[in-house]
Amino acid sequence: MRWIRSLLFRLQPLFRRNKIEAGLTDELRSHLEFATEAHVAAGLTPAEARRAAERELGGIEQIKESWRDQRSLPWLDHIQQDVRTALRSLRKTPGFTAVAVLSLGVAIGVNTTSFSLVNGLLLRPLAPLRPDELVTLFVAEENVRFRPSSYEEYLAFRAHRDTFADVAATLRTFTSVAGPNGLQRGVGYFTSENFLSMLGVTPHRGRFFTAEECRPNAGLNVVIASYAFWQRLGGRDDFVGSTVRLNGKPYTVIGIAARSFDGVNTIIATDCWLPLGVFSTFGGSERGQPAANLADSNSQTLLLTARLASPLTIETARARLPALAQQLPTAARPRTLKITELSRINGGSRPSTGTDPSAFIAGAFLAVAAGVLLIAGFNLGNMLLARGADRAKEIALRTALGATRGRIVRQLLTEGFLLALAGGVLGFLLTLYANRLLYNAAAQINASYYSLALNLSPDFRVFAAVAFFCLFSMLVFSFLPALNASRVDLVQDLKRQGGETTSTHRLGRFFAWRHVVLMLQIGLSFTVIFCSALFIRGALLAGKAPPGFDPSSGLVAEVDFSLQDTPFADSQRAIAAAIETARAQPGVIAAAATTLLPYGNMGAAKDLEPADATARAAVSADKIRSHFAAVTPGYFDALGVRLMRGRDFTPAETSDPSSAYVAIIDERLAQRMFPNGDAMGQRLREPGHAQYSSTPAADASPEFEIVGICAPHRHETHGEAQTCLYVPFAANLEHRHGVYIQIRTSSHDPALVGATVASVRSALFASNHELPLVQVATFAALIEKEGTLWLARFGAVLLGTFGAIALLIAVTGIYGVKAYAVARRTREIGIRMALGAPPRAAFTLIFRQALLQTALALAVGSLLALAAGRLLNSFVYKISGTDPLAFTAAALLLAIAALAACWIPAQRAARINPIIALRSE
Amino acid sequence: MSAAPEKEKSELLQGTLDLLILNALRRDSMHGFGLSQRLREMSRDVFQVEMGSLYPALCRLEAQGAIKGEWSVSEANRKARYYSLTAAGRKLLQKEADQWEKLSRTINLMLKATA
Repeated sequence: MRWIRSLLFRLQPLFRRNKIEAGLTDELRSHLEFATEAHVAAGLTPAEARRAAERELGGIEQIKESWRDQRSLPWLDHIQQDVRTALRSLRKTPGFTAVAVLSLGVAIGVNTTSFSLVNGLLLRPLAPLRPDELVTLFVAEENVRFRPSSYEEYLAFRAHRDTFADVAATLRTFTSVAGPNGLQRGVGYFTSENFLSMLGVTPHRGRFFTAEECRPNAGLNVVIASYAFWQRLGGRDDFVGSTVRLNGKPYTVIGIAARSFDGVNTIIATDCWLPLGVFSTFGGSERGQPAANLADSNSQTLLLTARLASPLTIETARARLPALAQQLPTAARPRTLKITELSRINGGSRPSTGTDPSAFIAGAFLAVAAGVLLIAGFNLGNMLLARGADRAKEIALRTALGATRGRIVRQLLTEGFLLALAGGVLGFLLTLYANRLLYNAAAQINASYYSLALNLSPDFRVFAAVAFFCLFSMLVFSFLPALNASRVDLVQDLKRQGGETTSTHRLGRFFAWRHVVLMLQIGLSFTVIFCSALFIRGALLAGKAPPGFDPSSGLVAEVDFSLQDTPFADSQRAIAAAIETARAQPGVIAAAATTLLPYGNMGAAKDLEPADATARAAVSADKIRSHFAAVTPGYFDALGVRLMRGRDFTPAETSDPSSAYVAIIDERLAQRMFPNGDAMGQRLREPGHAQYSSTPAADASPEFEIVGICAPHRHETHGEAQTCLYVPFAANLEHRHGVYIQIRTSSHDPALVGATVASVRSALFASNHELPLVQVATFAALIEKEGTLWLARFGAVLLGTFGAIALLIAVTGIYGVKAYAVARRTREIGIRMALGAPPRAAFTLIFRQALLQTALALAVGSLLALAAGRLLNSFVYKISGTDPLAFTAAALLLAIAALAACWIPAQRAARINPIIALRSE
Repeated sequence: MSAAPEKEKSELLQGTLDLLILNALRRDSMHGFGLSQRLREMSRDVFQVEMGSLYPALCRLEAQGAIKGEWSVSEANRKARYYSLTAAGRKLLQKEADQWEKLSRTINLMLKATA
């Protein structure tokens, strides 16, 4: 207990220091009086006695100081003092402090934002309960053909309790609920009853499934909503127990999952979970026809997630898989099993190979951001170095007054720490803002299909990252100044007048610490700017490829019959009616339906070859992969693509599925298929059709007779323009996903076209309120959401920001260092001028050095830049990672900015008045 | 803690100052100046206690609860802070004195042995 009292005693001066010190002063004063009295008694005069007494006592202040050291906790006291001194000295130079905190804050913000992205994509645990034990279980036949599992297999896995503590089966499906602007699409999962509880998810309200509800063909219409889904539907208190219509059928809500969980996919959020028991009766034909029966062991549809039995790790569990595979029921073909960590992005039945590209991109962003942080750190280091040199006199004075070297270094570090702390706070606030921008930008891209699960909100990992970035930058920027401060030369520094301590040797000056740091900074900035130039050039190119039509007057209405159980013929009629309704709207010139939206994110493609053997021989490639779309008559008119030869489809061909197979191809396909002859009247087919067919109704190898050729046009931003084969709308039995009604208006004015959106939507609803309308939007707005284009632009904006920040920091750094160099060499330049050097020589003196340093830094930086470019090679759009134009542009930009930043200080050098310069000592 | 740098005067061994203070206060309570005089007398002018050591030492001992300081008025009607030994201080004195005794005896023995 004694140490507690002692500690309390030691702490008390922190709070009542003045009172105690006053007591000590009184005591020492009384001591003096006694001593004086004693000396007087010994025969001294009162004045002499007083002096003798004071001499013996020593300074009252010194005694107090040694009391302080002993009695208080000195380090706590020192920290308090250091912080106070540092705050005072930072306040005295508000310009320096502002620039330092701002540049550091922006750099830390950029890093934390990138880290949040990495965290959201790769690091966040996918499940609340012991996520390390969770695995995704894949089944392959003959070692290579991965496929979903049957219900029977699922039960077999689940019985192996010594390997898997639990196994859950899931299957993804598209769901839809009625929203204010039509159907809202979302993603749902059929699950076994144990899925959510196995992951450790708890209900926010209500309950999860029972085993009975998940029995195959149980047919109990219940659903569990995600928290976000509940909120989107209004967040009513009586939601549990109410009925929602999913894909046109009523389901009773029995529970809401905990707020923190919206599925195991880090990108696509799960809106709701459905029991496996409703699998075959769930609305919509998205899963293909006919609806599968889970009880049938040939129906392989389920994806498996498992929790490993307690002592097993993924590696040790893998060893048991071959034996387990042997014990599976009804093994027609030998099966291989594979387990991986719980898939974060992959929602398919095939394990991902290699690194996920989004993870790579996020990592690349983080790497570039780290470059920005380094640059900011170097910059601040230089500023502190200059500041430290200016403060050499102050520091020498403090050393002379008894401050130890450790104390001085600690003082400097405290200043650095405060700057880093302020930068970290600012950076964190910037991150919160940037994360919101990032999320909103990413969320809108596929908003009509699913809601974005990406979680960028800060968790402890993000906080740790901010702390790390602060510490890292502090290390970078306080290393040099601390190094410098540790070789204080007392006498030299005290004598110094406005300082020329720089080496007088030219090479020594060229490679002075601050110049080396400056060159490092320029080199790194070059790398960052080059990377951003690559992305910007890619983004500029991305928008450049001419689509072959003018989208500015277009509107698109998307209907999705896969969300309803509408008989095929009925959906055909509904679409035809919707086209008529759209055509009747004022301002609408043309309307037609297609299954393939140009620049949409969904595609359908087929391999094609000429049906005629001689024509086939003339084709260089053995097969050509081509877009495949089913359209109604007038589509080319509605899109704005010219029909160059032949004819359009007839209404009869469109409405009758059994009509002859006819096709319209684009000119590019015509040239590739029939380089030597006329494509008109020729026939195309799918090579080895029977193998690929999933439509037993179609005849064994349908051949499409070419009746028309349209002008070439593009369907995607990325890569070379793909060819396209069009068939009559009714002929496409396979594709029942989104159907797009292309509508062309008479206006090209975005505002007017935009205004038509609402009227078309309400007209479509008015004519058929059962129409599964997903969205109506301007064509231009949809093209903006094209994945590659969006990604290219997104990367350009993000890296462009990085580049701009790097440039800005580099320029301020260069300016600062050069201005400082001129200030320090004022006297030297003054002498040179007094000896007859013209002002131009002073200018050259400073400018030539800057020029050479910039050139050297760029040379070294270009190696780094090219290395970085090679890494980014496959991720920059359309250009090589060593694109000479981007390289030259980045180098020029940086060189011009650097030299401009030197111009002002060099000018200042030229304007030095020798008389004033020499007198100012 | 800076000990006297003068050549003639021996430096106080670190930690012995506490013992000497406790010993000096064994019978009477004393103020700081009186204590410094007493220590000098007791050492027959060999030890010159630095005030920069004495007062912090007094504070330290007070913090440990070995002595107690109280403001009162001297015979000459002067205000001064008088220090007196507490019960804990007596025990501490006894302990430290024993330790010192043992230590000095041992060192003496060793010095003779090597001589």
